[in-house]
Amino acid sequence: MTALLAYTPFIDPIAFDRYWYLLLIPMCFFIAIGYKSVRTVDMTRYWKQVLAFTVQLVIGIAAMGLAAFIFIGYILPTFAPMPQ
Amino acid sequence: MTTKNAHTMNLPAGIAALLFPGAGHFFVLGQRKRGLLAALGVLGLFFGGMFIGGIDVIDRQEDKYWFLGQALVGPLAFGVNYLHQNNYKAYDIPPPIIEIERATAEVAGKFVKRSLYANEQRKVIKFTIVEPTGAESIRYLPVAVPAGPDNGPPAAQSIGRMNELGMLSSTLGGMLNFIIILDALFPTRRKEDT
Repeated sequence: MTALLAYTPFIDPIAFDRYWYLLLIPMCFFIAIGYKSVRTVDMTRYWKQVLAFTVQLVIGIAAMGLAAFIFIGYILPTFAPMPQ
Repeated sequence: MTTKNAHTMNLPAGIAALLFPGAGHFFVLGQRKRGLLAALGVLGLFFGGMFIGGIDVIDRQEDKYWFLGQALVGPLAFGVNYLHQNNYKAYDIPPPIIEIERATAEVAGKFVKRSLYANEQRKVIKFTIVEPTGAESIRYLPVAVPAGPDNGPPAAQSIGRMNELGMLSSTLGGMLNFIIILDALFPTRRKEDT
Protein backbone atom coordinates (compact mmCIF):
# COMPACT_ATOMS: atom_id res chain seq x y z
CA MET A 1 0.00 0.00 0.00
CA THR A 2 2.79 2.40 -0.87
CA ALA A 3 0.38 4.63 -2.79
CA LEU A 4 -1.67 5.17 0.36
CA LEU A 5 1.35 6.37 2.28
CA ALA A 6 2.32 8.97 -0.33
CA TYR A 7 1.18 12.39 0.78
CA THR A 8 0.42 15.11 -1.78
CA PRO A 9 -0.09 18.63 -0.35
CA PHE A 10 -3.48 20.21 -1.15
CA ILE A 11 -4.75 16.84 -2.41
CA ASP A 12 -4.51 14.71 0.73
CA PRO A 13 -5.46 15.90 4.24
CA ILE A 14 -2.69 16.57 6.75
CA ALA A 15 -2.25 14.34 9.81
CA PHE A 16 -2.62 17.07 12.42
CA ASP A 17 -5.66 15.77 14.32
CA ARG A 18 -3.91 15.73 17.67
CA TYR A 19 -3.16 19.46 17.61
CA TRP A 20 -6.16 20.58 15.56
CA TYR A 21 -6.86 23.55 17.84
CA LEU A 22 -3.55 25.17 16.80
CA LEU A 23 -4.95 25.60 13.29
CA LEU A 24 -7.14 28.35 14.75
CA ILE A 25 -4.12 30.68 14.75
CA PRO A 26 -3.28 30.69 11.00
CA MET A 27 -7.01 30.76 10.21
CA CYS A 28 -7.51 33.89 12.34
CA PHE A 29 -4.33 35.43 10.87
CA PHE A 30 -5.58 35.10 7.29
CA ILE A 31 -9.03 36.42 8.28
CA ALA A 32 -7.31 39.45 9.83
CA ILE A 33 -5.13 39.99 6.73
CA GLY A 34 -8.16 39.99 4.43
CA TYR A 35 -10.51 41.94 6.68
CA LYS A 36 -8.03 44.65 7.64
CA SER A 37 -6.98 45.08 3.99
CA VAL A 38 -10.35 46.70 3.32
CA ARG A 39 -10.99 48.24 6.75
CA THR A 40 -7.71 50.02 7.42
CA VAL A 41 -7.60 53.60 6.18
CA ASP A 42 -3.99 54.37 7.15
CA MET A 43 -2.03 51.46 5.67
CA THR A 44 1.09 52.32 7.69
CA ARG A 45 -0.74 50.89 10.70
CA TYR A 46 -1.88 47.79 8.78
CA TRP A 47 0.31 45.02 10.25
CA LYS A 48 -0.14 46.33 13.79
CA GLN A 49 -3.92 46.14 13.29
CA VAL A 50 -3.66 42.67 11.74
CA LEU A 51 -1.74 41.37 14.76
CA ALA A 52 -4.16 43.00 17.21
CA PHE A 53 -7.20 41.58 15.36
CA THR A 54 -5.60 38.10 15.20
CA VAL A 55 -5.06 38.12 18.96
CA GLN A 56 -8.62 39.37 19.55
CA LEU A 57 -10.06 36.60 17.37
CA VAL A 58 -7.99 33.81 18.94
CA ILE A 59 -8.77 34.93 22.49
CA GLY A 60 -12.46 35.49 21.66
CA ILE A 61 -12.95 32.06 20.07
CA ALA A 62 -10.96 30.32 22.83
CA ALA A 63 -13.10 32.11 25.44
CA MET A 64 -16.31 31.03 23.70
CA GLY A 65 -15.00 27.45 23.58
CA LEU A 66 -14.19 27.59 27.29
CA ALA A 67 -17.62 29.06 28.07
CA ALA A 68 -19.34 26.30 26.07
CA PHE A 69 -17.22 23.67 27.87
CA ILE A 70 -18.17 25.02 31.30
CA PHE A 71 -21.86 25.36 30.38
CA ILE A 72 -22.19 21.86 28.89
CA GLY A 73 -19.86 20.10 31.32
CA TYR A 74 -20.81 21.74 34.61
CA ILE A 75 -23.81 24.11 34.51
CA LEU A 76 -26.19 22.12 32.28
CA PRO A 77 -25.92 18.88 34.35
CA THR A 78 -27.05 20.76 37.48
CA PHE A 79 -30.57 21.40 36.11
CA ALA A 80 -30.76 18.67 33.49
CA PRO A 81 -28.90 15.69 34.96
CA MET A 82 -28.22 12.65 32.79
CA PRO A 83 -30.10 9.49 33.87
CA GLN A 84 -27.82 7.09 35.72
CA MET B 1 -17.81 60.09 7.84
CA THR B 2 -20.60 60.37 5.29
CA THR B 3 -19.90 62.26 2.09
CA LYS B 4 -22.07 63.34 -0.82
CA ASN B 5 -20.98 60.40 -3.01
CA ALA B 6 -20.94 57.87 -0.19
CA HIS B 7 -23.07 55.43 -2.19
CA THR B 8 -21.19 55.58 -5.50
CA MET B 9 -21.09 52.12 -7.01
CA ASN B 10 -18.10 50.93 -9.03
CA LEU B 11 -19.50 48.01 -11.03
CA PRO B 12 -16.27 47.12 -12.93
CA ALA B 13 -14.39 46.89 -9.62
CA GLY B 14 -17.12 44.65 -8.19
CA ILE B 15 -17.04 42.36 -11.22
CA ALA B 16 -13.22 42.17 -11.15
CA ALA B 17 -13.33 41.32 -7.42
CA LEU B 18 -15.87 38.61 -8.16
CA LEU B 19 -13.62 37.09 -10.84
CA PHE B 20 -10.50 36.97 -8.66
CA PRO B 21 -9.98 37.96 -5.00
CA GLY B 22 -8.48 41.44 -4.72
CA ALA B 23 -8.59 42.11 -8.48
CA GLY B 24 -11.14 44.91 -8.05
CA HIS B 25 -8.83 46.90 -5.79
CA PHE B 26 -5.65 45.97 -7.67
CA PHE B 27 -6.68 46.57 -11.29
CA VAL B 28 -9.73 48.84 -11.24
CA LEU B 29 -9.36 51.01 -8.12
CA GLY B 30 -5.57 51.24 -8.38
CA GLN B 31 -5.13 50.23 -4.73
CA ARG B 32 -2.34 47.74 -5.38
CA LYS B 33 -1.31 47.02 -1.80
CA ARG B 34 -4.91 46.65 -0.62
CA GLY B 35 -5.67 44.28 -3.51
CA LEU B 36 -2.64 42.11 -2.85
CA LEU B 37 -3.37 41.85 0.86
CA ALA B 38 -7.05 41.05 0.21
CA ALA B 39 -5.98 38.29 -2.18
CA LEU B 40 -3.50 36.97 0.39
CA GLY B 41 -6.21 36.77 3.06
CA VAL B 42 -8.82 35.07 0.86
CA LEU B 43 -6.44 32.70 -0.93
CA GLY B 44 -4.65 31.92 2.33
CA LEU B 45 -7.95 30.75 3.82
CA PHE B 46 -9.07 28.93 0.67
CA PHE B 47 -5.82 27.09 -0.05
CA GLY B 48 -5.15 26.77 3.70
CA GLY B 49 -8.41 24.82 3.89
CA MET B 50 -7.25 22.60 1.04
CA PHE B 51 -3.89 22.15 2.73
CA ILE B 52 -5.61 21.05 5.95
CA GLY B 53 -8.35 18.83 4.52
CA GLY B 54 -7.14 18.05 1.00
CA ILE B 55 -9.06 18.57 -2.23
CA ASP B 56 -11.97 16.65 -0.68
CA VAL B 57 -13.11 19.81 1.16
CA ILE B 58 -14.14 21.48 -2.13
CA ASP B 59 -17.04 19.34 -3.25
CA ARG B 60 -20.15 20.79 -4.85
CA GLN B 61 -21.89 17.37 -5.01
CA GLU B 62 -21.28 15.91 -1.56
CA ASP B 63 -20.90 19.13 0.51
CA LYS B 64 -23.19 21.45 -1.40
CA TYR B 65 -24.09 23.75 1.51
CA TRP B 66 -20.43 24.40 2.31
CA PHE B 67 -19.81 25.00 -1.38
CA LEU B 68 -22.33 27.86 -1.34
CA GLY B 69 -19.85 29.76 0.85
CA GLN B 70 -16.76 28.52 -0.98
CA ALA B 71 -18.23 29.62 -4.32
CA LEU B 72 -17.88 33.25 -3.18
CA VAL B 73 -14.12 32.90 -3.76
CA GLY B 74 -15.05 33.06 -7.46
CA PRO B 75 -14.25 30.97 -10.54
CA LEU B 76 -11.24 29.51 -8.72
CA ALA B 77 -13.56 27.53 -6.41
CA PHE B 78 -15.51 26.20 -9.40
CA GLY B 79 -12.24 25.22 -11.10
CA VAL B 80 -11.02 23.28 -8.06
CA ASN B 81 -14.44 21.62 -7.77
CA TYR B 82 -14.30 20.66 -11.47
CA LEU B 83 -10.85 19.15 -10.97
CA HIS B 84 -12.06 17.25 -7.92
CA GLN B 85 -15.21 15.89 -9.59
CA ASN B 86 -13.45 14.81 -12.80
CA ASN B 87 -9.99 13.70 -11.69
CA TYR B 88 -10.43 12.33 -8.16
CA LYS B 89 -13.92 10.83 -7.92
CA ALA B 90 -15.40 7.77 -9.55
CA TYR B 91 -18.82 6.25 -10.24
CA ASP B 92 -20.13 3.80 -7.68
CA ILE B 93 -21.27 1.00 -10.01
CA PRO B 94 -22.09 -2.54 -8.83
CA PRO B 95 -19.26 -5.01 -9.76
CA PRO B 96 -21.50 -7.22 -12.01
CA ILE B 97 -22.31 -4.17 -14.17
CA ILE B 98 -18.62 -3.13 -14.25
CA GLU B 99 -17.76 -6.64 -15.43
CA ILE B 100 -20.12 -6.58 -18.42
CA GLU B 101 -19.36 -2.85 -19.06
CA ARG B 102 -22.89 -2.30 -20.27
CA ALA B 103 -26.17 -0.92 -18.91
CA THR B 104 -29.43 0.61 -20.05
CA ALA B 105 -29.79 4.40 -19.97
CA GLU B 106 -32.28 4.06 -17.11
CA VAL B 107 -29.79 2.12 -14.96
CA ALA B 108 -26.85 4.33 -15.98
CA GLY B 109 -28.85 7.41 -14.99
CA LYS B 110 -28.69 6.24 -11.37
CA PHE B 111 -24.89 6.04 -11.26
CA VAL B 112 -23.48 8.52 -8.73
CA LYS B 113 -19.93 9.83 -8.45
CA ARG B 114 -18.31 9.68 -5.03
CA SER B 115 -14.96 9.99 -3.27
CA LEU B 116 -12.97 6.79 -3.11
CA TYR B 117 -12.31 4.81 0.06
CA ALA B 118 -8.81 3.87 1.19
CA ASN B 119 -9.13 0.33 -0.21
CA GLU B 120 -10.30 1.43 -3.67
CA GLN B 121 -8.72 2.77 -6.82
CA ARG B 122 -10.01 4.71 -9.81
CA LYS B 123 -10.19 2.92 -13.13
CA VAL B 124 -11.53 4.29 -16.41
CA ILE B 125 -13.55 1.74 -18.38
CA LYS B 126 -15.17 1.79 -21.81
CA PHE B 127 -18.87 1.60 -21.02
CA THR B 128 -21.78 0.97 -23.36
CA ILE B 129 -25.10 2.69 -22.63
CA VAL B 130 -28.15 1.27 -24.35
CA GLU B 131 -30.80 3.89 -25.09
CA PRO B 132 -34.55 3.02 -24.96
CA THR B 133 -34.57 3.17 -28.78
CA GLY B 134 -31.94 0.40 -28.88
CA ALA B 135 -29.15 2.75 -29.97
CA GLU B 136 -25.84 2.27 -28.18
CA SER B 137 -23.44 4.98 -27.09
CA ILE B 138 -19.91 4.50 -25.78
CA ARG B 139 -18.67 6.48 -22.78
CA TYR B 140 -15.44 6.33 -20.81
CA LEU B 141 -16.43 6.21 -17.15
CA PRO B 142 -14.17 6.39 -14.09
CA VAL B 143 -15.33 3.65 -11.70
CA ALA B 144 -14.39 2.65 -8.15
CA VAL B 145 -12.79 -0.79 -8.02
CA PRO B 146 -10.92 -2.65 -5.24
CA ALA B 147 -7.30 -1.49 -5.04
CA GLY B 148 -4.39 -3.77 -5.75
CA PRO B 149 -1.42 -4.15 -3.37
CA ASP B 150 0.45 -1.16 -4.82
CA ASN B 151 -2.51 1.05 -5.62
CA GLY B 152 -4.92 3.30 -3.80
CA PRO B 153 -7.29 6.21 -4.33
CA PRO B 154 -5.92 9.31 -6.15
CA ALA B 155 -6.74 11.40 -3.06
CA ALA B 156 -7.18 10.29 0.54
CA GLN B 157 -10.70 10.88 1.81
CA SER B 158 -10.85 13.73 4.27
CA ILE B 159 -12.62 12.84 7.52
CA GLY B 160 -13.03 14.09 11.10
CA ARG B 161 -11.49 17.28 12.39
CA MET B 162 -9.26 17.88 9.34
CA ASN B 163 -12.31 17.73 7.08
CA GLU B 164 -14.31 20.07 9.33
CA LEU B 165 -11.50 22.61 9.67
CA GLY B 166 -10.57 22.43 5.99
CA MET B 167 -14.15 23.10 4.91
CA LEU B 168 -14.53 25.85 7.51
CA SER B 169 -11.33 27.60 6.40
CA SER B 170 -12.17 27.53 2.69
CA THR B 171 -15.76 28.65 3.38
CA LEU B 172 -14.49 31.53 5.52
CA GLY B 173 -12.31 32.49 2.53
CA GLY B 174 -15.47 32.79 0.44
CA MET B 175 -17.29 34.83 3.09
CA LEU B 176 -14.30 37.13 3.49
CA ASN B 177 -14.20 37.61 -0.27
CA PHE B 178 -17.85 38.69 -0.15
CA ILE B 179 -16.83 41.57 2.14
CA ILE B 180 -13.99 42.43 -0.25
CA ILE B 181 -16.34 42.34 -3.27
CA LEU B 182 -18.71 44.74 -1.47
CA ASP B 183 -15.80 47.02 -0.62
CA ALA B 184 -14.69 47.08 -4.26
CA LEU B 185 -18.28 47.70 -5.35
CA PHE B 186 -18.75 50.63 -2.93
CA PRO B 187 -15.18 51.96 -2.50
CA THR B 188 -16.21 55.33 -1.09
CA ARG B 189 -17.95 53.79 1.90
CA ARG B 190 -14.76 53.08 3.88
CA LYS B 191 -15.00 54.65 7.31
CA GLU B 192 -12.24 55.84 9.59
CA ASP B 193 -10.98 52.69 11.28
CA THR B 194 -10.62 52.23 14.98
